[in-house]
Amino acid sequence: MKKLIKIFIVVVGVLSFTACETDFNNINQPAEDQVLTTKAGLLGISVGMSEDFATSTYAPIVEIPGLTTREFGNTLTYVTPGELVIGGTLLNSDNAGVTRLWSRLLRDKGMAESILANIDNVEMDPGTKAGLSAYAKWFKAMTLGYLIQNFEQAPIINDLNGASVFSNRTEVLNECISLLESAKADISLNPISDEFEGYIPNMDLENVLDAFLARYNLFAGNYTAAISSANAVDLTSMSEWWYDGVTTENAVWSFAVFNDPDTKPQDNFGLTGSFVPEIGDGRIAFYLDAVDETEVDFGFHNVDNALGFFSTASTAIPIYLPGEMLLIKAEAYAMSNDLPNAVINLNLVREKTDDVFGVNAGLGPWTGDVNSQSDILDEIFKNRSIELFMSGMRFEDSRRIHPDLTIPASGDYFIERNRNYYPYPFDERENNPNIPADPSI
Amino acid sequence: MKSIFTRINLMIIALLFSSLSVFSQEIEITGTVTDEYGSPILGANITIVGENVGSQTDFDGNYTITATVGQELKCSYIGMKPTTKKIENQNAINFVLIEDLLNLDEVIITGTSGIATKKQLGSAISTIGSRDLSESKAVVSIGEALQGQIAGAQINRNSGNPSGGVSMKLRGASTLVGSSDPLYIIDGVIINNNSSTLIDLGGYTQNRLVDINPNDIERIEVLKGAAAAAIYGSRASNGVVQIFTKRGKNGEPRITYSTSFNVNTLRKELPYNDAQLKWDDGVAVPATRYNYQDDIFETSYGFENSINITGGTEKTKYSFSGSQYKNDGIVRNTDFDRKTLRLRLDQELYDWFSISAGSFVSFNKSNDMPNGKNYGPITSLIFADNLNDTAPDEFGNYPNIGWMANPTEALDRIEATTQNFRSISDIQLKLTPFEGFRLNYTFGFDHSNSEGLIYIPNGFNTKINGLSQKATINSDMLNSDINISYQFDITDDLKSTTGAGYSYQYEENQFFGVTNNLVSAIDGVVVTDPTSASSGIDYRTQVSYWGGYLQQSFGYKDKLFLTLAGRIDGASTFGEDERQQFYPKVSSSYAISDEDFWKDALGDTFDSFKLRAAWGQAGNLTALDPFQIYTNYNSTVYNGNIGFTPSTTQGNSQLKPERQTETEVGFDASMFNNRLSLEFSYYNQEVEDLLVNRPLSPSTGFDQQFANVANMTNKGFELLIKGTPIRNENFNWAVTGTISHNKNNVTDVEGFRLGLGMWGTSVAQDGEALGVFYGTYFATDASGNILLNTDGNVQKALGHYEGNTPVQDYDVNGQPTGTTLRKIIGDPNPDYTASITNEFEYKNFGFRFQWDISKGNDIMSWDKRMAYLFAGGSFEADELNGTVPAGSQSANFGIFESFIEDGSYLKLREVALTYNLKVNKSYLKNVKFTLSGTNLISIDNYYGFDPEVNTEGQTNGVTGQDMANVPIPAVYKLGVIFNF
Repeated sequence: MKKLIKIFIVVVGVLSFTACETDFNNINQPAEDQVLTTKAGLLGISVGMSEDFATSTYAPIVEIPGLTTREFGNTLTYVTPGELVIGGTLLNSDNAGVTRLWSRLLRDKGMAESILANIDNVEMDPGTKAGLSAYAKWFKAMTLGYLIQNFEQAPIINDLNGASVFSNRTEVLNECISLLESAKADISLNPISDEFEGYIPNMDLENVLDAFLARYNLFAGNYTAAISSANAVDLTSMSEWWYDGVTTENAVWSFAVFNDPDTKPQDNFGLTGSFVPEIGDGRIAFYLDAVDETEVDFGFHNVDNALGFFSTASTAIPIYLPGEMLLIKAEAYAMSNDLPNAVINLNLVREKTDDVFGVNAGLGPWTGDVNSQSDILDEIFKNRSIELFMSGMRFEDSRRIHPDLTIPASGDYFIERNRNYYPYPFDERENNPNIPADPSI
Repeated sequence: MKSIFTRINLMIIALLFSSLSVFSQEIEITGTVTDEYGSPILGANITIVGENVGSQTDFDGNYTITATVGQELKCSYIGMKPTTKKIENQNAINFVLIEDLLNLDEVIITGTSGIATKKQLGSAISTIGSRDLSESKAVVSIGEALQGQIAGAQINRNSGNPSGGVSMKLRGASTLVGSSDPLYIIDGVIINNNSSTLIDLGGYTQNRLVDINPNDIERIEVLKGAAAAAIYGSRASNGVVQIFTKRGKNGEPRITYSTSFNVNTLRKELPYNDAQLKWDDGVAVPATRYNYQDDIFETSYGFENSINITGGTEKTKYSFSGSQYKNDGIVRNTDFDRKTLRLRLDQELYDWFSISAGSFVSFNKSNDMPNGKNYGPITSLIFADNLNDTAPDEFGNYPNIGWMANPTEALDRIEATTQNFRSISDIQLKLTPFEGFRLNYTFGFDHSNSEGLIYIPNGFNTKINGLSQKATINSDMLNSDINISYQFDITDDLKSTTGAGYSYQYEENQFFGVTNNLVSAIDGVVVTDPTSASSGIDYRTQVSYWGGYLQQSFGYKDKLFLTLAGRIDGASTFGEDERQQFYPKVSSSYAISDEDFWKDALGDTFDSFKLRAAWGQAGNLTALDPFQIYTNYNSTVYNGNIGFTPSTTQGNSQLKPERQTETEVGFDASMFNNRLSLEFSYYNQEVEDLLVNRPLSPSTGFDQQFANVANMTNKGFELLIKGTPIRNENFNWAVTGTISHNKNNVTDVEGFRLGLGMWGTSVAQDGEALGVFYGTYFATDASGNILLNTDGNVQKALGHYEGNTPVQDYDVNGQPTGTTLRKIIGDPNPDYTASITNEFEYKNFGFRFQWDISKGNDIMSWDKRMAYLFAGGSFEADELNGTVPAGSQSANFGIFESFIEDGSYLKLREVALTYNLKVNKSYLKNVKFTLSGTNLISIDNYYGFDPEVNTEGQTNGVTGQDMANVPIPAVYKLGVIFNF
């Protein structure tokens, strides 16, 4: 009996040790269903996507097309930048740089889409909801816009199951414009609440919406709309991506300035021949610190140190520049064959000395042939290349203003751009049944 | 009234019982155990059959035990055939044990419910005694000690760092995303063998088995596959390595003290540019070139002391050991220092109830250097030009040698340490309340705290702001296992054993770290300042595993055995509906040599012959990190607001455990009066629903997702041969050989190919072995000869793809054209591995040597690739000296096939000479001297330091990658062992 009692005690003791737990919540991170169904979650995604874009996505937006269009030289024999500097068909679809550009933009776009898909199911103050909605629509339009600046087609909606449908350039730009118009409508109906203004202290959303409408209307060939949107922008307003220099670092500084980088801006903004900046152009000293350095491979370009909006880890980067608005107007007028107004706006850029961001050419008026549309457009291209240096615009600008450039399939280290569009990344091709054919060049 | 009667009754019963024990005649028995030549055997076990009582022989082979007339005494010793004798009325019983290489009567504990002999098992098992593990070997960890000892195991030392880094695969890889290392159990406690990255050392990590002192080990049992282990279930799908530490024995205290000293040297230098020339505008001009290896490597020293004290009475036994190990690395300023303590107490409370408790503590610290894919001295060696004297100037300033770290500056100024505190405790109950019934309960607790630190001072040439980083992992694992078994005879010929059990395991990990990218400008202020930290991590995980089984075995006439088992296992990491799975097993063995027809026909040749077969399934519960079933959001802060960004890994609520089905058949045979034994197994493993971290189309907004989307097979054989060609009174020659062949094949990979690591060069591809190398290759002409370009250099294959097959295209001149082609260019998996150990004993001298062989494995030698690219490499010397065409270097550099190397080797793993001085005094019994050499000779055609390394450490899918690895040193060791 005693023995049985002892055995019983031992067994019960043992079993009590064996009691088990089988479900553990993730106490480190919230899961999707906690984020997408709450106000804190959706506002949090808007913060998260801004941080991700400013500190991560912005780097390939500048670097990748910058290598293709000579803004940068690369001083080391790494394969990824090497393929971009030579271009042509030598640029492979698994190029890590192109993949980075593609996937980071789509990731950020996906975050904006997750806000837009869930915002109507979450209670919040009308001014906060309108602000968040407008912000997400702008953010989606911006990421779509950067995609279509680099790729021939892009998916308007991310498909979580991997079968996103692609749309062509016209459809994508129309989507960008309608998103921005819709964003303007949101905040004109319900002005942005103070609560949401606290989430976007770095920008003036009303002006940003008009500035991006001007940009995409120009790309889409809607010149009247581009001019009126550009006119609506207050040129003294400043909208920037901010960095504290410690937990968030200037994304361009990180790859082009910090720690003796292998990617650096080329001499003369990478411009050659008639496009070389004029002596005395104040923007040279603003953007470049000339040093005596030649890259060791890939065309042996001379390179400089980057200044401007990239000189330190905490330097702010403008979301758009006022000079771009003037150049949009100049180009829209030029394309509408209103050449005098085109030259007026072009000269406003050339003669600028009071730019809020300090991008001041300080030159005299243009002395070229004011009756030649193509000369005016070349001067606009030159000024866009300088004024908007290292902002991810030159690939689009070159293709738009010099559409007839012949690009050798075998690649070229010196041509203004060595591709028209990038090939779609390998991972997209392997996993998405709806992917279109790659562009021929 | 009633209560008084009850009490009286009880007293009578008690009296009856006590008188019973008085009547049964207890006598003290003494005796000697010797081998067939009369040499005493030390440490032989004497047990009373069916009882929990045992003793052990001392140095002279003598034992004492108290037993009852009519009981049986069993004498056993590893490698000898056990003998049983009945106690009649004699006071002295001597045993003569005969060598038994096959050891079918050996008692196996691992994977059996209760106790079984090797004869009864349907699957192969390897047992390794302490003698084969540590006596003369210069090894830091158990994994390393096991190299060459186990048929069917591929054990690789991944780094020459003093703290090791060893991976073991039993019968091939079984998973892509998890670890293929077996489950390690020490005295019943499941232990942590994680290879966690604390600070980035360029791929190198320790594995936590290094905390354990190999000297503590008495015996190791190794189970190899899914078919084997019903009782460990799905955590054992990669096999089980069960380690038994030394235990106390009845008798006088026994003290063993061992001490050793070792010298480590660099076995082979990497070729480098010693041309004493450099390019100046295309002309080779004289220059001074340095051998940076002189700055990096040095001859280093180490020592080890360890003591073990065992003893006990009939009911209480103890074993205590302590050790101290210190070894300096051959890379300057690296070392490993370990101190361990271990205690085990066994107490019999009642004759049906005993309890055992163990405690182990280890404290160790290593000084490391970042290398590999990082920025350390060996990385500089392969990347930098060697035109600079790296020594500091008179003011202590280190010259900047370009974009790579100055190796001397790195060695002098980088501090990278890892510190570990480990404690493993257990309590075990063993109940045998009635005939045939056993209950075992084990509660084990394993705690480890690891701390990694790195400090690079402000002003360091290639990291100008410095770096200070601290990372810790706190890991707690507990297991609670109950196993019961009941054994009874159905008829005289048919025995039944029924087993059942339940196990619950819980694991908790906490990661914490702080990084500071802008460190104090004052040298010596090394602590990471949290107020200016640039980033940090705080991450906590909890996982539980649970499972229960039922097992039924039948034994017919002690020669035919059949075992059926079923098991349900679960893990919290999988999807709610998929996490609990059922796994069946069946196995059988047949000692055919016990049959008369066999004895008549073959009995003269074969002493024993056993056939075995097993089939079983197991899941892999540990492949997945926690929380992969969810899409998780990371926290971030921007402009003072808290934000969330989704993880780049999309959640998958449907994840289920990988399922492995294994079939094995084999035989165990011994021949010629136990002079030769063979153990052979053939196995076929199929892993279904392989978990893959598959890439997603980026337009999902995610980069990857875990999914059950591939299958894998392992087919192979393993053979163990033991023989004693010569054995007489004075001279003994024993040979042990193992050979293992495994063919791994990954199939049904979604998306055809998956990159696993090293920039996508190690891949899993449909129809290929895991971890094959993928990359660009040499252009060849139509008949397959290398196609040179007009400069006479090799060039990349160009062309187009037809489906997944690359096809080379040629232009009008017959030169390559099209896009860059890639294909599978190498396979790191060996065709076979083998090991041959010869042991000679002459009187008191012993001589042993072990050769290990790996055949047919390729290595991706990034060291060679960098030598094609960078001016400090050996190929620059060829070009400077004009022995190869100009441009040959860069031509080769771009072609990955150019640095695929044959990694086959024949390595002298160990050569050892021992002398056993018999003192035979009361204060000292004997002294054993050992002189050994480890890794002295490697016969190979490998370009780099050593073919036996892996830059990605213990990573499962990535093997055979060599980039700026610390080479495995050659070690000379002198040791003395005292037995008191």
